[in-house]
Formats: sequence, structure tokens, C-alpha cells
Amino acid sequence: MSRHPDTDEHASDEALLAGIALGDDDAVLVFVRRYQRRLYGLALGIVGDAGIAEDVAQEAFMRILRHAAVFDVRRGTVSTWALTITRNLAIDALRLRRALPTAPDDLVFMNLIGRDAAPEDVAARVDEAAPAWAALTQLPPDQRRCVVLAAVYGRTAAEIAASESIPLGTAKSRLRLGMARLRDVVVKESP
Amino acid sequence: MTSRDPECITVREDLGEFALGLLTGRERARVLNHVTSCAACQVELEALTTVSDQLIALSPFTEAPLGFESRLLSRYHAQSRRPVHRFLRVVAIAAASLVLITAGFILAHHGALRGSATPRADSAAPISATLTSKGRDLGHLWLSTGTTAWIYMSVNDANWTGTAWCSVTLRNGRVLDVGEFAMANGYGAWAARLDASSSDVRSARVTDASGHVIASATLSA
Repeated sequence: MSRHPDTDEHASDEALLAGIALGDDDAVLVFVRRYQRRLYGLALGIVGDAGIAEDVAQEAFMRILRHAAVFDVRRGTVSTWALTITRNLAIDALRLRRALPTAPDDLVFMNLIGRDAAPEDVAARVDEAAPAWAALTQLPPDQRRCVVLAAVYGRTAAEIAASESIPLGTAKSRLRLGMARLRDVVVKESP
Repeated sequence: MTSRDPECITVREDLGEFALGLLTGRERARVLNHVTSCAACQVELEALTTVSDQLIALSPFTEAPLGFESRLLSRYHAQSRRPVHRFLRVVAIAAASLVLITAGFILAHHGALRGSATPRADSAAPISATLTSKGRDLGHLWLSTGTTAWIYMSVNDANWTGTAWCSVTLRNGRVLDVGEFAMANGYGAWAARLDASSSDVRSARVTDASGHVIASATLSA
């Protein structure tokens, strides 16, 4: 269901998409306000430039709003869909400019890979990520870095190998082992 | 195939990167070619995709630059107000129907609506009608076609704030209560499943607590 934003800003993401598909401007506004910090934050984390990040986040929103009608709930959550669109656009923007991605050093990255990371800084804001966060903290630091660089910042194994100064085979191996360990924990905790 | 199959072993080396969306087109094609015919690798890929989906949700939250929202909405409205070809309009309505069915599916799963039947994904375009009151257009309703219909209703400018009730009248005279919803400043929209076929619906109406009709619509036979 989607209603006036003053009274129904807690409408589900799926209901907002239904309203957007039917031309409901209030649903658009609620959706944009709900997601702008997440999509912009993700874009900024990947491209590292505020101007490019805004372009990416705006284009991501435009695609989401235009294609709201074809969102398929069987293929995942709205948030995953929205974040994946943003992430792919950000990676495209980065590669279009032929920039060699460097290892991010922002606070979020340090929190994600740090031994003393405070869960409330990251996963507490997003319930859906709580199992992954818990599993991530159990990984060896090298694997954790590789997984975060790949999953959150969109780095390929080759890019990780370059930025971490490790052989490609090592980067691939860390990614594979890290993902396998996360899978074991996340699947075990799934209902 | 099993996990001991040489092809499985090779493909599983790349499944994590595949789930993370990091492989090139050719690498993806090779993995997909195997996964489509290997149940064990499908299960593995599904688990890794769940991990990938959760990891991307760890992305940082950052306040967008000043004016981000207004620039985005201006751009969106500029595009959405362009003339729409009639064919595209039909496609949009059909797509809206799909969302309507999907939203209903979710609501039914979360117990927001009575019953537990899964709506049938009919491919036909929904039936629509205009909601009016005293000759004024106040909104629209859409009914998905099929033996179990879904109704989506959007009311605007109805001069009403508070709880409103929606009901439909079937062609046999039976009245079905669809449910109640909140309206604010004359605006409200909602979706629900109907225990009736869309072809059986003759009319729909929105009323206040005393039964006063706020808006109504009649569907053509």
C-alpha cells in the first residue's frame, strides 16, 4: 500500500514501487528519501568523487523509477535490487574514466575490515545485513579485505591483486575462501 | 552432475565471483552454461548469492549533497511528463498490473490481507475505471484479470482525512468489503485481493464511517 508521505512513510518498498509504477508522485518522494543516503553512499564509496557519485546515484534512481513496474520480488529484495543497480553503474563510471581503482580508505571500509569494528556503525542500520556482518568479523583479515573490496566496492580479483600487491591467484583464492566461509555461516543462520 | 564432477570443481572456483558480479561476459557464460544443468551448483550459487546480497547491504550511508532530491525529482518529472505513445501506455498499464499482483503476493504472505491463496499471474491488461463524485474525477481503480482479482485504488483530491472503507458490488448484487485504509488531505492508495473474478465486479465505492460515499466507479460489462 502507498499513501500520503506524511502518514505512510513506513509503506513497504514493494508497495512504493507499485505506486511509482502507477504514477504516484508521493510514492516517488518517499522512495527517494528512503534510499538517497544508501545509494549515494554506495556510489561515493566506489567512485570516490562527490560529483561523479551524484551522477551515478541520480542515474540509478532514474532507472529504478522507470523500471519500478518490472521489479520481480522472486529475485530478491528491493534494497538489493536498488543497490546492485547503483553498484553496477558506479563500476561502469569508474571504468569509463579508465581510472585504476585504489583501495578505499574511508571510515566505513576501515570499520568493515577492522578488528574492533563496532557493529552498530554498520549492520545495525540494516537488519538484512546482520548475518553477513557477523560472519565477516570471523574471517581472517586478508580474506575480509578481499571480500569487502569485491562485494561492497565492486573490485575484480585483478583489481584487488593490483591494489593489494598480491598475485592474481592469491586474490582469487582469498575471495573464494572468504565467500565459502560466509556462505557456511549465513546459510546456517537462515530459517 | 555432482561436486566431484571435474566441470563442477572448475565452475565452483568461480561461483563466488559470479555471485558478486565480478566475472567477464565470457566467464559468466561458461558458469551459466554449467549451472543451468547442475542442481548441486544451483544450490551453491543460490547460497553465495544470498551472501552477496547481504554484503552489498553493508554499503555506507552518506548524506547526499544539498539539492540532490530536487534535482532528481525535476529530472524525473521532466521525463515522466513527455507525451506517451498509446502503445507504451498499454505496456505501462500491463506492467502496473504485474506490480499490483506482486505487491498483493507480498501482502498476502505477510498476512496483511485475508486468505493465503497466491494470485495467478494473468498476462491480460487490468481493467480500469475512473473514481468520481458528483461528476468530478477523484482517482482510478485497476482490477487484475483472472479468477482471483487484485484491486489497486488511488484516490486524489477527495476532501477527506481519516479512515475510509472500500467495497465492491458484484454483478449478482453481492457486496464484498475490500478493507479499510487511511486517507490524508484527500489522498490515499492501496492494493488488496478480491475473493471474486474481475469480470464479476460491477462497481466499487469508497465510503466514510457513516456510509457516505466519498467516491465510486462503475465498470463496464
